Amino acid sequence: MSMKNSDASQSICTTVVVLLALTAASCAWSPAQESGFNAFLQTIAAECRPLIIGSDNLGQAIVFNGLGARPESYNNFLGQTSALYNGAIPPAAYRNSLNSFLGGGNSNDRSFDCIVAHLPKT
Amino acid sequence: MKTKRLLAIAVSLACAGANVAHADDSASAIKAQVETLQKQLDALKAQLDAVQTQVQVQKQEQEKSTKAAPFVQMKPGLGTTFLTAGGGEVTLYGNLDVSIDTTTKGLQSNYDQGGAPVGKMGWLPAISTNLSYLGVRGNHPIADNLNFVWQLEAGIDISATPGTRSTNSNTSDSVNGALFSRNSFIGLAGKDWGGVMLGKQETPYKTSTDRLNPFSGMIGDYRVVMGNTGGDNRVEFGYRAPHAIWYQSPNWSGFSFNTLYSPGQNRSNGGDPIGANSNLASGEQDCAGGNIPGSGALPPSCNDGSFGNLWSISAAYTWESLYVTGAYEMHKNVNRSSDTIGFPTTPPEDTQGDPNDVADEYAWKIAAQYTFPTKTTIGAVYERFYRPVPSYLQYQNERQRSGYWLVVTQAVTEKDVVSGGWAHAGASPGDPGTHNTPGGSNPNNQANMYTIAWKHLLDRSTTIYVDWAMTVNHVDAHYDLGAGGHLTTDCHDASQQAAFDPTANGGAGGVTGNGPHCFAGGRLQGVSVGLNYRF
Repeated sequence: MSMKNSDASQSICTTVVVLLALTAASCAWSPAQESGFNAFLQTIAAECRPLIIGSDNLGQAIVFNGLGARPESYNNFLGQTSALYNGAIPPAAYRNSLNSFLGGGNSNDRSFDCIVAHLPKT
Repeated sequence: MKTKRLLAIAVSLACAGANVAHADDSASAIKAQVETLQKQLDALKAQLDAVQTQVQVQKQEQEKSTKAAPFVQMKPGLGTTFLTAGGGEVTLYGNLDVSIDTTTKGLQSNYDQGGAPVGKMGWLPAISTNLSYLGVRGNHPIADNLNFVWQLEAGIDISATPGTRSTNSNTSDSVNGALFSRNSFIGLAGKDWGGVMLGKQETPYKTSTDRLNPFSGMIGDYRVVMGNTGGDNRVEFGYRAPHAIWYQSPNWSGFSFNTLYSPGQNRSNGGDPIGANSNLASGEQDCAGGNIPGSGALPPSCNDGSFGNLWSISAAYTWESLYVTGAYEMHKNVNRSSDTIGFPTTPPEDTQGDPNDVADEYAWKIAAQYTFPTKTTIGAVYERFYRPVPSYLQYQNERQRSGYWLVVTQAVTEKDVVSGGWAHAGASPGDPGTHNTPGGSNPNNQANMYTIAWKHLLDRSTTIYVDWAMTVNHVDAHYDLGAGGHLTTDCHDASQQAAFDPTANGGAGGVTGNGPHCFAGGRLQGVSVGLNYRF
């Protein structure tokens, strides 16, 4: 076997092993471990459609793992929504922050109202 | 005498009898006391046992909670967002992405011109950090509809060692891990009027179509072709503009726009021997557009793409499942005089190239994205680059062409998303040539890139992905595989870098090596498996 073929085999083997390990880890993830936050995101993506804040379609981004929003906007949205969901920030601070960083707009209030309405009752 | 003795004995016996009688009474009392004390002791012992049991239970509970708790705990529910005095908040955020790759440059073992590329040209395993960063952002309410906003963001090298870049492809004094190497700014914003920021930020031209790029940071990122005029690792129209000011509008019934201006801050002008913008911009450590003077084994000037003023604008319309956008960006007086070195049109006295090879470079694009109820998203981008140089310099103008991007994404389950994309780079009017191509007018430098990726969410913050990409260059093209954020797999071979060598010329010192060589026409290919975490 030539050096080049040996390198190729080694590379492909390594990649396959990593892939299998990651797949196994993924399969070991039981539904019980699914976070309540993820279920909350799925709910607002479905119930608040179109979930538009600024010019980003966050509902689409939730379904397509980021596609539909600028990556920075989606990351910001996830962080703030997680804080809101966990009770770390009040709805007013949530609105203020996303208005500032994702941009204002006349879709925003409707989207915020819908998100807040679907928060789990404490 | 005898009588006295008997009397003494009698008295003694009498006393002893009395003592015995008295001792009987005392023993009963003592016994009663002992019994009482015993009862008290039993009670105390019971109390002590109870206390010991309680202490033991508490100790066990404490041990149990110590084992369950992390080394550092935050208050429940706080996450990474903190409220600040005055009603503001501060958020820590980040994106961590590392992949294991195997890629090939897909070059031939030998070429008629240029000979054999140096080094490994086959498959090469690698571990890559991809667009990873940490940041902190916050806002502070000043008045109704007016906030002070700020963001500080730094790129991080997880797998590589941070430092200035000196790769086979480029040399740069920027440090990815330096504070704060990525989008960082301060500004004012309000929900009804938008925001004005100062700092450094990706241009509106770049961000307008980010949402159509599900391969961001992977091999097969659409920036291999889109926004990338020459096909190198610098993405000229996917730029993070330093020393910039920008405005971001609110969304008015679906319409929004963004605009950014970055002054050139360059003291060289058109009358200079090397041409305009051949100097470093004031306050910067790299030439405008990236890389230090002399990167690419060139003479030490900013004459390989350095520009002056930059402005960029984008407009978008968002309506339910539809997104439509258009964008325009201008780079004033881009100095590419180094591209003319060695060509007959360059006067011999112009050792750093023809100073007339300075021209505006600008681009526009339109794009659309639509999501169907089947959870299928399709998107398309068309863009055009322009570089109007004098006609006698068109033979080496590789910065004017068209670009196309088609992408489809299907949400297979709530956790699985599959994407496929195709990018096409049109031909340019000219080509400055590579190590195995002569350059000249009407080159065959089109290219196609194909990419497929599967992303699987472990949870909302954690994704694993598998990605395959292939770039098929025509004979004169040298587009790469991961421009925009992934480890470099490009046209360059492993030839020695050009550098000062004190042992050269018999110890007199001098430059040795003439830099890695770029071979056009490669068929680059790779597979990447990665793990991404964002918070």
